[in-house]
Parts: sequence; C-alpha cells; structure tokens
Amino acid sequence: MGKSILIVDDSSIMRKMIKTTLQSAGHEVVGEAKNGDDAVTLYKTLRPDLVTMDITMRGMDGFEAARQILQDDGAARIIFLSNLDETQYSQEAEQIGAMGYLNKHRSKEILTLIERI
Amino acid sequence: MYSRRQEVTPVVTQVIQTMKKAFDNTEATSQTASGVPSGKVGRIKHLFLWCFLAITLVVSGVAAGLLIELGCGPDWLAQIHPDKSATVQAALRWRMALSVVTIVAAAGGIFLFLNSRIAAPLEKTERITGQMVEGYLGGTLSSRPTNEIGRIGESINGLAVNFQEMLILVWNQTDNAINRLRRITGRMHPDGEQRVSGEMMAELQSAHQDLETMRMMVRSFDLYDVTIAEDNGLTAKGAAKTLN
Repeated sequence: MGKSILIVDDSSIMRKMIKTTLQSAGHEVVGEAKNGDDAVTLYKTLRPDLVTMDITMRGMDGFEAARQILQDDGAARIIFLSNLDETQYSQEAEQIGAMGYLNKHRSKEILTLIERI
Repeated sequence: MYSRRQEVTPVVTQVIQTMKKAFDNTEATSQTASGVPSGKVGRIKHLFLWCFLAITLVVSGVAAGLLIELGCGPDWLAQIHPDKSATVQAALRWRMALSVVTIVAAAGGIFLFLNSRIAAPLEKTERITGQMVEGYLGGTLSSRPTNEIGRIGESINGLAVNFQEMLILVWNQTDNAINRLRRITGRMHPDGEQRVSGEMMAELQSAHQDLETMRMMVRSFDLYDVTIAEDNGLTAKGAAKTLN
C-alpha cells in the first residue's frame, strides 16, 4: 500500500525526480518543501507517513529540520537522501533518529527502504 | 561692470564636473578579498541620485529667484497689500523656505526608497549572477521576495541550486563510471583474467580520460554548501556546516 510522503529538497529538479520515482511505485507525494523551515511547518500541517530529507539546504539544513520534526513528533519517520559522503554522515543521521540514509540518485534502494519502513 | 554670471559660471561648471567624476564610476570593477568578482557599481542608483539632485537644483533655483524678487519688494505685492506688504513679504519668505525644504526632503526620501527597493536589489542581483558566471555558486539572493525583483532573485537562487545538483550528479556518476572502468581494465590487463587487444585497452583508457575531464570541469566550480574532499567524497562546507 502506498505511503503519504513529504519531499524536502532545495533543488526543484531533485524534488521532481524523487516525486516521479515515488509516484511510479504507488506512493502519494502530499507536499514539497525547499528548506528546513518549510519542512517543519509542512510536517505539522500534513503529518505524512514519511519524510525524505535532503541535508544541505539554504537556510535550515536537513539535520536541524529532522531534529525539530522529531521533537514535535517522536514517531516521525524520516529518511535522508543526500549526495554527501555516506560514511561520514550516516552515523549522524542515525543518532538523530532517522530511519535511513541513502544517496538520492539510487531510486531502487530508496523504494526498497520505503517499502521496509 | 563685472558680470555676476562670469563669476558664477566657472564655479558651477567646476561643481558639476566634480560631481560627474565622483558618480561616473560605472566602468570600475572590483573583487572581494577572496578573489570573487563583485560586479560593477550601479548606474540605476546614479540615475536616481541625478534625478534627486536635478529636482533639488530646480526647486532651489526657483525659490532663490522668488526670494530675490521678494527681497526687492515687488510692485505687485505693494498693490495687493499696500498696508502690510513688509509683513506679507516676511511670511511669504518663510513659507517659501519651508516649501523648498519639504520638497527637497520628499525628493530625498523618494530617492532613498527607490534606491532600497530597486537600485540596491538590482545591484546585488547583478553582482551575484556575475559571480555565478565565473563559477562561484556561493552567492544567495533574498529568499523572501516582496516584488518582481525579489522574485527574479529567488528564481536565480533556484537555478543555482539546480545547476549545482547537476554538477554533483555528474561528479558522482563519473566517480561510479571510473571505478567500474578500473575494475574492468584491472581484469583485462595483460597479466589479468582476460586478455584484450591494445586497441580496446586504449579505448578504455580514453573513456577514463574523458570522465576525468568532466570531473575537472566540476572541480572548477565553487559550490554553495558542498566541497569536494581529498578522497573525492562530498562533504558539507565550513565549520557551521558540520551539521552537529
């Protein structure tokens, strides 16, 4: 069954690509945010099943946004999709309470992880 | 008789030339300490400033003329107010002076408003886009647009972000491709698992070189919030971006 997903990424092209990937697998994209502040605000309004979060964004970054979302809703499910070096940042992601950390261009792995969650 | 005009004209000309020299620096370019080009000084701001100065000069000139006329005690005033002409003259001078000050202050306020809402944002937009042309993607324009110029800035931010995303994709994909080529050529080495012709090896090495050239182009850009580390991995830029 498809999940309702909030996409957070400062690149409009990236949001489009992720949305296409998710929709092709039957998930519903309920919102899109281009920075951490918008992500926190939209999460409170939409309460999606899952959030895909970029890390480096202008303004509030993904890690800080994830912390605030998890502070507000401890049961929030967040997966980080990033270009940054996985070995360096996946530990940080885990410590924050994210459910996963993947390269944002690996569509199959992203969908597999979402199915598992 | 010495003409007052002959006395005043050289002074006025000198003042205008000095102001023109001070304001006419639109060909000047500058760089920040980091070597990033910071663009040319704005012509639009100067246009607004000249408008303000022109209004001030015209109003001051008209007021000066009227004050001189009043000072000489005009006949028309004596005819209208034969008993109170001196009092009326004084009152008129005061009111005229107040009007001039009000008009000049209003013109100055309009100049400052137009400068802050139009000239300054345009100058910043020009500077940031100039930096992007030179490969520096670190500049950011206002993210809370209140007018068309602000929305242009937001669009430029979006373009820069998307462009950086493309560069990072190229970087990562070429990294994957180079690693695959290394594994292939490693197996196809004369001493490796599978023999391959010299021509095929040259093709593979050429493909490797093409990929390195693409990566070299990516390296020539200064990305906004990401840096390419020694091991070719991507890390967030700066102490503030350690993301703790």
